Amino acid sequence: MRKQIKPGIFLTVIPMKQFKTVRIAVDFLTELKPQRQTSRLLLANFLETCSNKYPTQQAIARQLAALYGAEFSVSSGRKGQLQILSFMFESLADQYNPQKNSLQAGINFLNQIIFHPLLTANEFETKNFAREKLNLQKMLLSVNDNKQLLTYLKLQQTFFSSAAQQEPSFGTLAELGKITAQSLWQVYQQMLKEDQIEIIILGDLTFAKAQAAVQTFEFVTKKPQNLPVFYQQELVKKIKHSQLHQPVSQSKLDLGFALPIYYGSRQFSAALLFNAIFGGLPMSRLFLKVREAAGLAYYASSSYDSFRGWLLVQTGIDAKNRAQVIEIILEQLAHLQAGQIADSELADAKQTLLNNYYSHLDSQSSGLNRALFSSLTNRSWTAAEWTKQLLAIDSAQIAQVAQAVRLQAITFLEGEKSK
Amino acid sequence: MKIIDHPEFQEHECSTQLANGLTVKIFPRKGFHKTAAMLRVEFGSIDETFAVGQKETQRTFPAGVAHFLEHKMFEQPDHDAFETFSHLGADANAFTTYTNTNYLFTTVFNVRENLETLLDFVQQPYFQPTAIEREKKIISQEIKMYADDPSWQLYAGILANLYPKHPLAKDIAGTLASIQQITATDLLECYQAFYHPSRMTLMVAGAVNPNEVLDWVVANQARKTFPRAEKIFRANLTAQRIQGPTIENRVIVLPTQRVKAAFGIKGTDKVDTISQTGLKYSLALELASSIYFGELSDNYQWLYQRGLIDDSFSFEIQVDRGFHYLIMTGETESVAEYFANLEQMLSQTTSSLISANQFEMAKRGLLGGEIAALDSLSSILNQDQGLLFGQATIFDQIKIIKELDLITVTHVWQRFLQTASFSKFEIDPRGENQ
Repeated sequence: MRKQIKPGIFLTVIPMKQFKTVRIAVDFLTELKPQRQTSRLLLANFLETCSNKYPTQQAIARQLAALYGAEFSVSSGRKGQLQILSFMFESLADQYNPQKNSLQAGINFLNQIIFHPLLTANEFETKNFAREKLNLQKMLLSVNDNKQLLTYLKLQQTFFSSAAQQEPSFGTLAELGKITAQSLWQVYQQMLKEDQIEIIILGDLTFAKAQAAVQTFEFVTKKPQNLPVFYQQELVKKIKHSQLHQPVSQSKLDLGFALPIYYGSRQFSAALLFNAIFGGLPMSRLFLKVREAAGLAYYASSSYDSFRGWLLVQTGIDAKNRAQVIEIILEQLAHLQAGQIADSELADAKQTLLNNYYSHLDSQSSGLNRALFSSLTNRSWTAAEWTKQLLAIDSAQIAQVAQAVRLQAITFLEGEKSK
Repeated sequence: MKIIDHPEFQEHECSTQLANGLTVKIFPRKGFHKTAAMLRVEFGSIDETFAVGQKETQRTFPAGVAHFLEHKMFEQPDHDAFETFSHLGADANAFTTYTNTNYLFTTVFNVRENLETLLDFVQQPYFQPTAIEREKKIISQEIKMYADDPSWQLYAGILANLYPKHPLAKDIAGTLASIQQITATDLLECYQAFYHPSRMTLMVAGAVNPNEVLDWVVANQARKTFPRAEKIFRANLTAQRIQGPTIENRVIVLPTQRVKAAFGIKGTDKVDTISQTGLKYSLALELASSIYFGELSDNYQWLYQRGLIDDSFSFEIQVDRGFHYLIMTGETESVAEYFANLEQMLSQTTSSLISANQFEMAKRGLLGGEIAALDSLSSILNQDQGLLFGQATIFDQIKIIKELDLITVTHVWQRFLQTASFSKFEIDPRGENQ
């Protein structure tokens, strides 16, 4: 159940008896803007390590331990055209927790973190700020060590036309350099004032109990917003190429395709099935044809971002096999476009997607995500509806999805130690 | 079937050993949709030298043979087990560690069929020479991928420092050269030695009725015959001459962005891995490490505030068949200070006493995390000790943590450190490439 408890502030409660813990998420939502992602991540990192009441990481760690191993994190991410800063708290439910009133304890803790940050005069406390800025700088530098990620980021930059979508969701070193303790505090004040808030609580509790508990939060009311969610862009006629060179032995080849079908839309389940058969599942075409049959790759898989209309293929290969791998990938796509899908292949994919769907019901973080997506898109469905919809898809519908797929960008990371 | 009730968690666990020696543990979880199962074989990467039946026949196999075997088990005479799981809607996987091999699946549908698939393919060897050659290409890619991963290299590097002549010094997957030597005969010999039901544990957790699961497993096993399990003589890997003297300091250059530094402590005191005593030892070390070097600790805070460590800092404790160690890893800007401070802090732990308050807080943290882990089927299975530590389960771990007291934890920590040897390993980015 979801309800607006104050203008711009929404509470969703998911009552479930299945788990030993209660999980609370407080999500701040705003429209994605270029050069904003860096400051949001730095905010997340700063707020995760200190507050006025808990001025050090140690003080926070001790409080969480005292609450019997409670978990707490702050993260920043992107979903379609949205920027989401998320506070998460989880602790043992009352019946397993010698410390009673775990829900209220969690909300009190989050309230301290969110509304009483560590400040000196009119800026974030500078020592903690400087350290977190430095740590983020080091983290951004370490990205170069992860060649798979590096290739992905290069492809993202090549594929997207919007500046905000081109950027890594964790920002850039150039932007980070410009942020000061004062400017970041201003960004945070604006965020507290303007962002839409989604509070989502999952556990063995009622809406009334949750609503009473969240009264503690010192939220101010917000101007109602109409937040954009899905990102769309024009197709390009000429495929864009980009290349990286790295002193490693394995090369990486990533392909970016447009797949303009969005979360919860009419063709959504067919698009999921298409991705599953193409490269999303362990026994997908890409796995069988690129890795197993041709022995050309250690990994070859696809993933589908239904908030950005993006289909991504990632492979790890020997540099010399590049042309052959592209050929096999496109050949597999052509087969699906022609509707060449065996009944058993389709049935397996359906069964696996249903398996994934029901499996996610056993995960608290999936529960919180589903609730957030349904709030953002106004699209949700029951298990029975989903099952029925998925089982009804035929190979012609999947071919239709495949026909909408357009290769737009290719990124190659050449391992220079390759033999 | 033995049933143990845990009313404080509204849970129970069931276990039994079948006539053929297979140990079965079942953890039903109310309200769950999913079932996870794992079949563990007590054969890992360090078991490269052993004899079957007679001690004199001891032989050394090429490094990476356990991992290779894991890859090849999925191939069956008329089908691929991985495909069968896929047809049945399950998500299947396998992994090899230093001391065991694990085959697992999670599923919502067709639990019985998936369970039979798991038992059948792991209990049916089929090694075709041409397929083995093809697998060498795939595993070579996997080895290359690990070689490119600095975090993995850091861990492997410090282990090689601590145990220079021990199989722990080698990658679980072996080397590009060693896997080339692996033959169908090697795989079959290892299989026949270790893949006996008496050296396996089947663990099932989630949306299951334990009696029903047990009936399925019993019926499945009754259809098969197994030879008598012969005694295995593993090479004694605890001897100092095999472990090798610890390499105290080593630096390698890799094209990474930042210095990665690992500090390793190799325990040389004797730890019993047969009974739960060893598990208690392991959990006490875990608790002591979190008190001295976890986020709760003054040490962590001191290092963090001076920028000598960041979020990448972590420690890992392994207490396993024939070895135990504590490894601290992190990225740092000033590696000399990082090591000097860790060493000094470590030496201070032997004289500075843990306060009752510190102890209580750290214990609460560990205990709460362990109870919360009951919500994750994969945690229930992964934390299970299989045939080690008196076949301890996650519930035993919770119980042991509850019972740990300050004196035990201090005592274990002192005992571990007293005869331990130390090592430093560093990955330096300042290569020709930079």
